[in-house]
Amino acid sequence: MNYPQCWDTARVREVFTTESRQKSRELFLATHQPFHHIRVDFSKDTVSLPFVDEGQLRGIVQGGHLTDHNRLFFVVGEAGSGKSELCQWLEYTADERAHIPIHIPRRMTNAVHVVALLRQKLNGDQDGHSLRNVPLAVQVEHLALSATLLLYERARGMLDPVDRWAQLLASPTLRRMLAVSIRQVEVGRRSHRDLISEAQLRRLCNEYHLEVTRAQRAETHLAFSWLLSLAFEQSLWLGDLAALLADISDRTIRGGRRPLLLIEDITAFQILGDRLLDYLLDLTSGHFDAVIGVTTGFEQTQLVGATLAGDLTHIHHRLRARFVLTDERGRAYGLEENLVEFVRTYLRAIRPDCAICPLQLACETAFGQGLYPFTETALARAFGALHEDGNPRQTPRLLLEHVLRAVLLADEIPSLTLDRSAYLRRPPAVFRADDVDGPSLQSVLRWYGTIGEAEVTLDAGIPRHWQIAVDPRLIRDDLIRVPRTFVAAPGKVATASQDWQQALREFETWIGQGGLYPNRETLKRGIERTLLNLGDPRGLGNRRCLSLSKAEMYYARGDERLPISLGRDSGDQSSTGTYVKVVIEGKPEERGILEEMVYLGLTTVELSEVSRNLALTLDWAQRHWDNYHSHIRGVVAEHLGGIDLDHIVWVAWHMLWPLWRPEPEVGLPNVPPPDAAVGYNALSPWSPREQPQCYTTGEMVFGWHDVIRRLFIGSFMLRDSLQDRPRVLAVQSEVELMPLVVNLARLALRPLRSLPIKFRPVGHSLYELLVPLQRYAQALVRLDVAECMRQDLADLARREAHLRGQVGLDTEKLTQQLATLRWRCGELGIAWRERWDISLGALRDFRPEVGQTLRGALQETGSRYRGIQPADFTVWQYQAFRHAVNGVLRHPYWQGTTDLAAIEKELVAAARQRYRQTGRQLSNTPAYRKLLRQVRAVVAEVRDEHDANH
Amino acid sequence: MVNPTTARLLISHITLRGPELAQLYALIESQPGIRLVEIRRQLGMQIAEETVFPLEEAPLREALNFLLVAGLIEQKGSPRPKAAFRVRPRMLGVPFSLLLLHHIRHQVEERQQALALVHNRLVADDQVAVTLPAVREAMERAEERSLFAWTGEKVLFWSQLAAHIGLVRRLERSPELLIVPQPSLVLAALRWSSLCSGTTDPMLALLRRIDADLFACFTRHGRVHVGLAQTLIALHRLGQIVLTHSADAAQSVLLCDWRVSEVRIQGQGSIA
Repeated sequence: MNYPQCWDTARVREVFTTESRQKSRELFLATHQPFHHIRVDFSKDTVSLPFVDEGQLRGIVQGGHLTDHNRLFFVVGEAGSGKSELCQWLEYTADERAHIPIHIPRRMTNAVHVVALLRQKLNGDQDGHSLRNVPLAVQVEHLALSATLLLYERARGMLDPVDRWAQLLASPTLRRMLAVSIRQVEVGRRSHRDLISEAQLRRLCNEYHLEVTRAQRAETHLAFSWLLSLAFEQSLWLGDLAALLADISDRTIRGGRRPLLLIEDITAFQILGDRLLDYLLDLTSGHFDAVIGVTTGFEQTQLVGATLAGDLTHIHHRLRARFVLTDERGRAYGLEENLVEFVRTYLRAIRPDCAICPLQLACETAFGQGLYPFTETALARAFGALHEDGNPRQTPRLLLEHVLRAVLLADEIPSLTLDRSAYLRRPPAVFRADDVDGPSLQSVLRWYGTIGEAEVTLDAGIPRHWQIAVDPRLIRDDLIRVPRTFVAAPGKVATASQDWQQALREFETWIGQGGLYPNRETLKRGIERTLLNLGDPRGLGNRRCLSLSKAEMYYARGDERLPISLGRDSGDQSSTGTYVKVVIEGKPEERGILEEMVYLGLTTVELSEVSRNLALTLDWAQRHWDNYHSHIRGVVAEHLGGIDLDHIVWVAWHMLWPLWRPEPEVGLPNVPPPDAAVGYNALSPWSPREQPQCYTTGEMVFGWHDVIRRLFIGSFMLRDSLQDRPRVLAVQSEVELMPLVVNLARLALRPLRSLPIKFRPVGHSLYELLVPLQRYAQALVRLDVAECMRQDLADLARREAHLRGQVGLDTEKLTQQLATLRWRCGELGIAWRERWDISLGALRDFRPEVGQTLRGALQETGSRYRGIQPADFTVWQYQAFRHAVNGVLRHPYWQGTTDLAAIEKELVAAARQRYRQTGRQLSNTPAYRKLLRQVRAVVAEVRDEHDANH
Repeated sequence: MVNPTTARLLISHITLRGPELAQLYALIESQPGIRLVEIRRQLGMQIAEETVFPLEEAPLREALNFLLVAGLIEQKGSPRPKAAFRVRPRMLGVPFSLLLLHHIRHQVEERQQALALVHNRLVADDQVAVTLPAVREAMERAEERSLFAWTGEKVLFWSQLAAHIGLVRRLERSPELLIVPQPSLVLAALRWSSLCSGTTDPMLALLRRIDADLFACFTRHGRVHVGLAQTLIALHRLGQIVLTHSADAAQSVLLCDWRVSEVRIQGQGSIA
């Protein structure tokens, strides 16, 4: 299939060369793209950034002083990364007033060429080698011996039998021939690779009876010549190479310039490479600036053994700087960023100016300025797909040779050429093949299509230029639009579902058109996996709490699966007022993310393996998580008459605290739990006689102490002993306690019986907690605090007066009277109770100084509260007051007086009963009169106690 | 329980999670010169004044010590229960998360930078999803291996603190840790970075400033870390920033496959 081409293929071959050296200077400079990103691994000069451009690199290389010793620079990169290009550019642009650039190209792989080049560049002297002081006979002798050594070491198999060939090498005839050849090489009339002709070798073989068949002659000559040339190169460098280079260096320096040695690839050299490197590494041996290209692999493997020290560190310590062109994945630094301009420059060199183009394709609209037959998308995709030997390798050479050159020289449309390339991984088709007719259009879409959120689009002008037929239904607004899929094929899918393609088709249909979605559980599984990764949205506690003691409320409707409802008539029941679900509407813009969810549902892979943009996916998930969570809270709050669940916990803890703690300020839940032996009665501020409703309902709430404490930890604490201050401050600013209690008291509990809020791990339901809370709240609301306060203050005054009356108490007489009292009770048949012994014992033990202390406490408490109008008291202040006075009121003395009054009551009642039985006879008896006197005496002794207790 | 000392490694405060640091710093910032007794009281702790190191105060003590070692607060007077505390931020008007990142990154002693070095390493390697054992293994093989013994607890603490700050995401039902910063953190960092210059800087300059002062942004190859790039793209898609590219821009960065040279932050003003 041909397509319009506005370039000349011969020109393409000329421009797209493998080596930069293959181009003329003008063409090189016309197509050279500056290196903007050269990584400086280290530099002994100050470099502020990890990357420099080629100009800065040149500045570093040329920054040495005229008399500085050798300065060595490595340029490291994968093959084809631009080392030669960089060396070439340095050669062309070096400041020749200060430097003499000597570029040793890759093809110069032997010593003779290099020495010749050096001499030519520096002096015009073309001497062939460095053994100028050695007599010719010795040179020949040495050459023959070197060749013999190499024969045994390296030429086995090529020249057999070896011993016979060794004899030939030692022959005087050969030595005479070599003497002539060496002279000719010295004057440049012969190559050292051709020290002996095929005819000369044949004669020698005949002379030494070495049988070489006619068919083997050429091959044998080649092997023998190679052996001699190798020996020649080795022996050549046995001369004082260091002296030769030093001589060159000194002469250059005397001319006011430094020699700049540009060795584009040290890898290509054999013996020379090692020797040259050793010379340059001896920093004091000369005044060279040497830029040496090294392939990454060579540096890591071969270079270690190439030096005297045998240590890469040894080399690196002597380097002035190390510049790196590719990363460890084989990607050329900065090329991706400059890809379009890079390509545009090359295309400019091969194409006519659009104004004078004979084809007049008007291609810029569809392809972009100066990019035909590529687009930015196609270039980026092809660049990303480049690989070599199974490894990704994004280098300029691969791009030029296997993308640009291959496409420009092919007859078929570019995308098909790219499809067939062995150096390009075919990008996944993110559209369904049955949506696009024909392999050509599919191929174009694959390489040129823009992948959007919902569809793959392509400028319709591209297939039009290439005469590719397109179904008109796919074209809208001059764009070809094809519904997209996300991942070409889900990984590990077989483990989850055998029918994943069907599942995907159903998803595509639902997201595209809506309607029944039979396989929706797959999508829901994926959504559930993602949302639960952020935490369970049904949990209503503080997610930052770390305490092991925490409990939290959670939405318990349904089973353990997260309830999810898909929209667009998928067949799901939507969320209701009582059954709250995660609502996924399936909007077109959600398509990409929902597709990821389908893959998650189908597979066992992690989110990171299917998500194209984790930040977007997580943001989407977080929004749905938050919406669902807020929805649950909203629905529950609606049922609770506007009270938020956090507020329930807050008010519960604040109602509970005064029931057992005397401190007026509500504290943290890490205080020790109430002592079970002490009991509610001893802890509560309420009196069962004076505030019976508060006392009883408070006792119910007190029974929930542990649950409320754990809920408070789970809602407002980071740890057991560290509150979550922002949450506490938030709730403090949101609510006032008493209005909250009032709202709680007004709560209609019956409809809440089925509210699906439970506590974990304790297992109760919210309703169970609300019952005692609401009753206690009602008791608190109904409590007439002002009246209670007035009575309590009056009581305090009475007790104080009573104690004042006890100042002169005769304890001995009291003890005697209490004993008589007990005896008399026995007389009247009143059963004496054990606790009376205890309480009356307290009376017996009562001393005036104890009374003084109690009086002082009463006075202090009374004076603290008497200044406040009872009407101003809140129920919380009243409880604090009750805790304050309970310390005095619960003194055993008061129990003694109370019990004494009770005994009197019973005694009088018993006496009255007997009086009724025996009529007036009793009251006339001496015994009755005596009893009456004794009782009156006792009562008089502890007067007012009856009033004090009632 | 380890006694409070400023000689401790930041990464050894393994019982902390992050929220306690923020709230304690906020409390001290709002009341300069506050004493420990008052801190206890305001945090609702009922501990007798004379008690020196009560057990229930351990989380507070750890948080206080961390802030002192990080140089976020300073202590005037001794012993600590009787000392006064005030904040000592190196940056003003920035959210606590950025401040914390800045202080950790600029610790003088390299060992104290460990909490930042873990993230640096993962970003340099362009990791986007990693497990905690893999993080530990990476640190044990990296240049930082000699700083101290890398334990699971230290790595876990790093992950929890980094997740609280918003530098990474912990997933509750997956062993993977996502090295994808929270949009809110990146947005705050961008705002701070752009306010630093006072002019509209190119994207690369903003990221370089963040990389130098707050958290690592670039891989060892000089590319924008893929997790950060994804967050930046997400912010763009969510309408909180606008990313653009000018063909003649001197500098640009690649966010995944998207070339960007400038960024405009919507509703620019407050950093927080």
